[in-house]
Amino acid sequence: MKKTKPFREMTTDEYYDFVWSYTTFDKTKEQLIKDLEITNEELPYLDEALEYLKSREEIHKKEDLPSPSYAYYLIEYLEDEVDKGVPEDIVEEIEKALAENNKENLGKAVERAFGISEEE
Amino acid sequence: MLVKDYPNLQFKEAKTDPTKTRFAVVIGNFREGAVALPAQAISTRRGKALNPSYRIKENELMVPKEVINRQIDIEIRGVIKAHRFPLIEGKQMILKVGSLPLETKIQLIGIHEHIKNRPFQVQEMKMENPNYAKIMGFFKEVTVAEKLQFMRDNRGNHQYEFLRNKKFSLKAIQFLEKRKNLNLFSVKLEGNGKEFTHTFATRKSIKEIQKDWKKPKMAKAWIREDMKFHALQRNPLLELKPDPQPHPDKYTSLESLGKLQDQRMNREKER
Repeated sequence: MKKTKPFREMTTDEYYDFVWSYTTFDKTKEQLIKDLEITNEELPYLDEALEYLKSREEIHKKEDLPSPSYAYYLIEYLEDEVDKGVPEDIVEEIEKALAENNKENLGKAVERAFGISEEE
Repeated sequence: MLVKDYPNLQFKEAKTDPTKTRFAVVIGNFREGAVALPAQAISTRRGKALNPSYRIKENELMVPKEVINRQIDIEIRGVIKAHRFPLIEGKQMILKVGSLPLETKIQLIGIHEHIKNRPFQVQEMKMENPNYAKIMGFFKEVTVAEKLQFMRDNRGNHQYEFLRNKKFSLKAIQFLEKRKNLNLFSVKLEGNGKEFTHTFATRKSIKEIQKDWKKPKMAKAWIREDMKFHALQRNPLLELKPDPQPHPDKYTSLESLGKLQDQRMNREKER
């Protein structure tokens, strides 16, 4: 399927029709970056994502799942990869503040948990 | 809830990367005493989801701005991934950070109902948790109970989720009014050392009520006696007419209900 407009202009149905019909294994990296609106943060993970998804072809066939070549999988993979969750050092801070019943430090640590996961 | 070792996406399961610590919404105390509860991840997608131009997906729901942990004064941000149903153990749950408002829970039900008709979403949900549909059903039932304020205690906490399998007996009853073909009764239920008052709308006759409501029932059976529950199960967005206020001195026993009703009907006939 050819992309005719940016994701933000697509309706929900258009978006899902696109991500479940656009195949990624037959495109160049440049084409994928353009068509799938891959961000600079996501870019470093593109090669490993494609490699991983290609390695899943047989498994998907065996389990009767859609082909891992569909854009849906690549987009989900990249978005999940850049979202690192809450960094371990902040989790430790939260656990320490909880153990010490220190509400002030707890508040700061949780705030950092949101902040860092967005900025890093 | 802040959750440690939140599992990877199903299709990424084979990847050996460590799981992540994430904020997640625990969507129900599914089975009493269960060691693990289903929780839906909250993700900011590294801030991308907080950008006004972010295109929200059909399996996502934005956490509303007012979800704030008052204890530590932190606003919870991100999108709830409504198709994730991994079971999270108690020891993985590090910190409770807030609760979703009722409106958001109702929106989440809307997303659940939508994605359970989308084959590719179903496939992923089934792989992650074969009981996903039951969990959705449970979440809906508990949310509808909250909307009905069924088993809400004096502190404003909704207890139904924890008491749904406990037996309750009718302690006292009061006829309130007739609305079309429904009779409205205020009922005091007692059991498990607790007492709750609830207004039931029923099509049952007094005789049927005396027979059916005589024996103790589980909370989940009591809520199903209220027609408002069934209406909200069909459409959780429905705005119901407020219940009439019961009179504190007009409660009676189930046995006396028939007599009082006969007297009332006789008086109406005489007029």
